[in-house]
Amino acid sequence: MRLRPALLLSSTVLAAACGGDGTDSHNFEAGTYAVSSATLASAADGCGLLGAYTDPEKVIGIAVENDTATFNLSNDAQAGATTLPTATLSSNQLTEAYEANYLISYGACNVRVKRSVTGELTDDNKANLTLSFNVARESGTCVATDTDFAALPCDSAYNFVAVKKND
Amino acid sequence: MKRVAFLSVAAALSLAGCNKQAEADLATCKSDLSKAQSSLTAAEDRATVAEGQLKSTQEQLAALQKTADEAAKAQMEKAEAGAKTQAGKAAKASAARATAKEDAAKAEIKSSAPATGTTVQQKAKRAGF
Repeated sequence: MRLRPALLLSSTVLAAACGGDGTDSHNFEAGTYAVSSATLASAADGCGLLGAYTDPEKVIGIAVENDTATFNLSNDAQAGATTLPTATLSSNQLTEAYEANYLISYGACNVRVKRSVTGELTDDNKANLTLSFNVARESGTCVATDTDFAALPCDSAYNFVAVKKND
Repeated sequence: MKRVAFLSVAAALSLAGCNKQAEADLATCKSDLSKAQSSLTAAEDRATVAEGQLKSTQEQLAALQKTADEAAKAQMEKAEAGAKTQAGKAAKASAARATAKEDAAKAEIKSSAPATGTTVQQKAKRAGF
């Protein structure tokens, strides 16, 4: 009669010991993710785009392949590969894999954008993400008002929650 | 005898007169020579003064010429430097335009200046955010 509880206890202890840190890996699936709870993660919003992430209609696209997540921040199917930052997923942590680095031409002014996304999965298809980016003049004659950014050069970082939308 | 004596006396008197004339002529010559020497000395002095003035004038002319040459050289160098600066600026501007054109051609996103009233959402979308 005492053998069963002992076996049950020992198997539980063994499972806990062999199960690593005890956290479960959440599912992370490709799709369209709604953005919410966007806040400033940098000292100031130098680039001035936080408003786009506090917009309740804001969505981003996320593609997942093996352990790599690719973030299509404008959710634009035509977006070039070099404009999409990627992160490696491991133990629910998203660490920077590729910093997107691309040029935007505004007529006589060319600016270079560098951006990355990191974060962690807090549930299935739900992540706390941080977008960090900076923009600087690459060539030509640039005035910030002739671009989509509040200042040149500029730095900004935003924290936000991304939750997969039901397609 | 009387004739001989008369002739002798006449000759002596004649010789004495000649001697006096010669002495007077000599004094005149000496005086003229002295005047001529004085004139020569004065002329030489004037020539020396004139030479000095000429030398001074030549030195002044040389100094003026040197100053003019230096001014012209400085002006030329300034003009050349200015031309080089202008040329350098023009070359830099040209290179910058060429670079901007190349960058624009290879830009991943080709946009235009946002119109007045463009929302932050629209700006973000245009910039790939």
